[in-house]
This record gives sequence, C-alpha cells and structure tokens, in this order.
Amino acid sequence: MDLFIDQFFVAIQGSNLVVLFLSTVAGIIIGAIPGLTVNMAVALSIPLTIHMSLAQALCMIFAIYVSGIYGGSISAILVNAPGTPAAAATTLDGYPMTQQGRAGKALQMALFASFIGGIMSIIILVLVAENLAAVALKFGPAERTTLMVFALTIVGVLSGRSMIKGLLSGALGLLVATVGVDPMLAIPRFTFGMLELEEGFGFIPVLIGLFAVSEMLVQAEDRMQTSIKALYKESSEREEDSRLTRKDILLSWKTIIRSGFLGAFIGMLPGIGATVACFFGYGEAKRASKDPDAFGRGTVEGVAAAESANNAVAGATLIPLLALSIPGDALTAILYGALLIQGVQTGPLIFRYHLDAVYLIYVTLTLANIFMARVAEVPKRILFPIIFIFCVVGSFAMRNSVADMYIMMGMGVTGYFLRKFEIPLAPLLIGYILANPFEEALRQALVGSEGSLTIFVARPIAAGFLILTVLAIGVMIRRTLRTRRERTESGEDEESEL
Amino acid sequence: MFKSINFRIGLFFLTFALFIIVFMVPTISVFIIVFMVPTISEEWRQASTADVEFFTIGPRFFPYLATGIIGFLSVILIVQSWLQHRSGSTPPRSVFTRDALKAVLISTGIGMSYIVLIPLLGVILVTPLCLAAYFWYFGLRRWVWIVAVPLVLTAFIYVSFVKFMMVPLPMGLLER
Repeated sequence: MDLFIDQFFVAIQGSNLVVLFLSTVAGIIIGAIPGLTVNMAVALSIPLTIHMSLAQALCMIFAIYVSGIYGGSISAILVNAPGTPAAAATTLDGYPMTQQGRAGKALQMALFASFIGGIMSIIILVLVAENLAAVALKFGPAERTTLMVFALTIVGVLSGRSMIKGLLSGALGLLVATVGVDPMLAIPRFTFGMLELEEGFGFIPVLIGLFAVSEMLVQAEDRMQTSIKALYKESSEREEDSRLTRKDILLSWKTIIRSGFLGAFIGMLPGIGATVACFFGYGEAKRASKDPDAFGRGTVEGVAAAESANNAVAGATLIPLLALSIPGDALTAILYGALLIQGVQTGPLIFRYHLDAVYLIYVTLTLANIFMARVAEVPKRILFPIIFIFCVVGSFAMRNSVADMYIMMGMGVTGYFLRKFEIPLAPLLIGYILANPFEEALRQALVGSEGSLTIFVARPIAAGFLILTVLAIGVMIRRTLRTRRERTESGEDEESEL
Repeated sequence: MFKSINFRIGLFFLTFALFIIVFMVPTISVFIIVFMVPTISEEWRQASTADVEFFTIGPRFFPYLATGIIGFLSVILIVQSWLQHRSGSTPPRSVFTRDALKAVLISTGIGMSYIVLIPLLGVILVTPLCLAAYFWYFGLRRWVWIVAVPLVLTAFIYVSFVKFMMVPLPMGLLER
C-alpha cells in the first residue's frame, strides 16, 4: 500500500497530471470517432513517449488506453456507430435510449459503469499479477516454450472469424521477427548485408504500419467520403431523463458488479479482449435480468452491463503481460513495446526489479479511470492525412532511421491486405513480439535435451500447457462444426470458417 | 473453387512459404548471386565444430519452423476451400472493387513519394506538399486546407520533434 501511495504522489506531480489530463481528453476524442481505434491512438502516442520520463509515459499511455475505450461508447450511444469495437454491445441499448431522448442518462451510466468496471479490474490485477509472477519464476525453457505455444495458439484461435487465418497470422509474426540478428548466436538472418536490418524490424514501424497506416488505407478506399456524423445530444424535456438517478444505480448495481467480474475474468485470458467481454457481459445481464425483454429497447441496465464489462478488461489484460510477459491482445502488445522503450522489461522479474513501475501502472490506471470526461468531432479526411504524417515522423523518431519509414509503409500495405482478407492483425503483432523469447526458450530447451522433443512432455507443467493448447484447438473445431451444422439445418447459406 | 478467396489466400501463402524454404533460408540461394551475401551465414557451423563438439540448434531452425507452419496452414486453407466447393457452398466474393483499389493505390503512392522525398528535400519542404496532396485528393478545395493547415502542422512538427524532443529529422535541402 505504501508503494501505491508513493507512486500516487509521483503521478500527480505537475507535468504528469497535465499529461494525464491531455491524454485522457485525446483518448476520448479518438475513441469517440468511428474509424479511429484505441489501438491506433496508443500506437501513435508511443513515439511521443520516447523522451518522456517513465511516469509521464505511463500517464500518457494508460490515460489514452482507458479513456479511448470509454470514448468508443459516446458515438455508440449518440450515433449508433461504436467508436471502438469494444463498444459494439453498448449500441444495443445506448442508441435506443438516445432515440427516446435519454442520451444524457445513457452517457452518464456508461461513464459510471466504465469507472466501476475499471476499478474492479485494477483490484483484481493487483491481487493476481504478483502471485502469478511468483509461479512463473519457476518456469524453465521447456515450460516457457509450451506456455508461448499455448498463448500464441489461443490468440490465433480466438482473434478472428477463422481459426486457420488467426494461426496463420501468428506464424507470419514469428517469421517477420526472424529478420535481424539471431538471438542466440548473433548470426544475421535475411539482412542482405544491410546494417539497418541487423536490429530487425523495429517495433514502432511494425506497430504503426500494421494498425495506423493499414487503417488509413482501408478508410481511403472511398476517398474518405463517408463522413462521420456530427456527434449531437438529443435531449428530452424531462429533467430526470438526461441524468443518472439513484433509481438507475439501484437497478443496475448488481449488473455492473457481475459484468465487471466477467470482464476482468475474460481479460485475464489471452486473446479474447474487450469486444467479446462486452457482449458476454451484456448477454449475462440479459439472462439474469427480471425484465429481459427490455434489453435492446433502451434500458439503462444494458448500457451498464456492456460498459462495465469492456472497461473491466483494461486492467485484467495486464495480468498475463506483467506476470508472464505475454500480451493477450493487440493493445497489451502495444503497451509491452511502450514499456520496453522505457527500459521496463515485463515478465515475472518486473516485480523484483521494477516494482515502482508496476505500482505506477496501477496508479495511472486508477487516475485515468477517474479522469474520464467527454468531447468530440472532426472529419476523417482531415484527420487521416495528419495521422499519416505523424506515423512517418514517429517511425523515424525512434531510431532516426530512414529504413524504418519504409518498413512502416511496407507493414501498412501488408496490414491492409491482411485486413481485406479477414486475417486478424493482433496474432501477427503478438507473434512478432513473442518470437524472440519463444525462439530462445525453444532452442535452449532443445539444446538441453540434445534435440529430443520429449522434454516438452516429460515435465508436468510443460505438458499441461500442451494439453491446454490441444484442448483449445479441439474446442474451437467442435464449435465451428456445430455452428456449420446448425446453419445447414436452418438453411442459411453463409459459410462458417474453421 | 479457384475463385474462392480462401483458396487464393492459401495458394499465395503456400507459394510464399515454399519460396522462403527453398530459396531464402538455405545457404545456396539465388539471393547470394543477387546480393552477394548469404541470407543466413554459415559461420555458426564453424563455431560449433571448432575445438569441442557440442550440440547446438542453428539460426535456420526457427525460420524453417515459422515457414513450415505457414505452409501447413495454407494447405489446410486450400483443402478447406476444396471441401466447401464440394459441399456446394458459395465461396466469398472478391473483396476489392476497382475504385477502391485505385484510391488505395493513389493514397499509398502519395505516402511513398513522401517517404522517398524526405531524405532528399527534407521534412519541412515535403510535409506541406504531402498534406496538401492528400487533402486535395480527398476532396478538400478551400485554401485553408490546401495551404494554411499543412503549413501550421509542419511548423508544429518541427517545433515539437526537432526543438522539443531533439529528433534530428532529415532537413534535406535546408541542411546547412
């Protein structure tokens, strides 16, 4: 607790607080604009953090992260267009409430539920992360290898509509990371004699290219002609419709707590993320509600369920990242890179060597949850070119390398095609991040066993992760086959992919 | 079946994986002839057999593993689209339209020109041009967008990156 209080005072020092406030506002604006995702916002903020102190960098990144997810719900409620995928379930009741003139109430409930969900998630993060890290410290190369196989598989299996494409994306990430010097013997691979490539593809150009530039290219398809509708507030004449009342809170508190727990639990598992949590929380709330028919027609409980769940994911996704150094989704992968730039290596040892950073993360997450306000509206065709300029300059800034700008553009075009073919990008980024530690662990394990693969099944924890991996694939295949059968029986033509 | 997107994706990645396995990873590759450097050098072999024989896993192992997985998954995609074709389900239609591709190509072209010109002419000269080109292409015609905003943004980038964050952005022609 002392550490938490110490880091609290660090975080509220003058410049840190200013960064926190500005980043919160920026996060909400970006989150509220459909087409601009939280991932993109956090990715673009990373080059700006290079010259910041650890405290400022964390304030900026976490404020954008948390407020961006909340920002997504503003446009979901007001114009039926979720600003981020995580807010998709919020539209189900949020927009009908706006149509009924109760937008103010919906927005306030979204803020309230997001806040409670976020705080619950932080409590769970604090309780679980350190204990999990203590267990992870006992892992040897074989355990680390199978843990990463499990993490990569589950991210691939759950990230997109198709399991195969998700896994393919993860494998591409592994391959992309092989460019550069090999991590064990320092032999250059695929560098073609170019010094710039010896360090491999930089994290920032890969990240910005994949998430920001590819998004711009997707939006450029219609030359940015589909405008973002101006965000507006329709207000009812009745005063109580525009604000949250005690009655609303009494009606929804159980839902908020339940969805918060569900969100935090889902957040802990790699690869699932806020979007699934949001629908899961909503579905559970509907099932448990006394009046399930009201869901979808504009009930404040529906907004509460979706928002509490998607914000509860934010803290919990940090558990595998901090304790095991395994990012569970694209956002945590981006955060991993941001921490690395600040010299903070995640993984079990973070609790030994960077405990201050861990508590600073807890504090900034808490403050970011408290800071959420609301704003928004700028057209895409102005925003995206400006974002592109920042992408290029940001890619250059990290290593002062012209090659990085080309890598970013190449990744952007690759990301665009992958998106068009419905190959999810998150597994690629996570594969890219995990590739080096994975290769090291795998080669160490195999050298230790003189090439025998039995080391992965002879050790109980390692074998356990392998069994979980096979189970994850098995469950997914079964689910896909069942969906396909149901569709065939009901005569639907749409194919379900494996 | 050949029109199915998944079939084409599978075929593309299978070719890609085979290309890397056959030509890129092994020492004797076309790339040695073109670039005069091996894609992955043989030095580690000498190191491992110097004095004492010890078991090691070379730097080629992981690229082979990653491409092997890509190849394997591509084959599954191909088989899957063949099975779907046999069961009579309709393959997903093309995801591109001619206009969309043209717009993406032009946007990429503007972006690439920006990156190519930065080292030659410098960020300060090229940034306003790039922004103006994008704004024009996306249909903005008022001088505020074509002239004023690009200039203000360039000034902002210069002050924030060069003066504030001390990033030595390429100045090209303006470099003393």
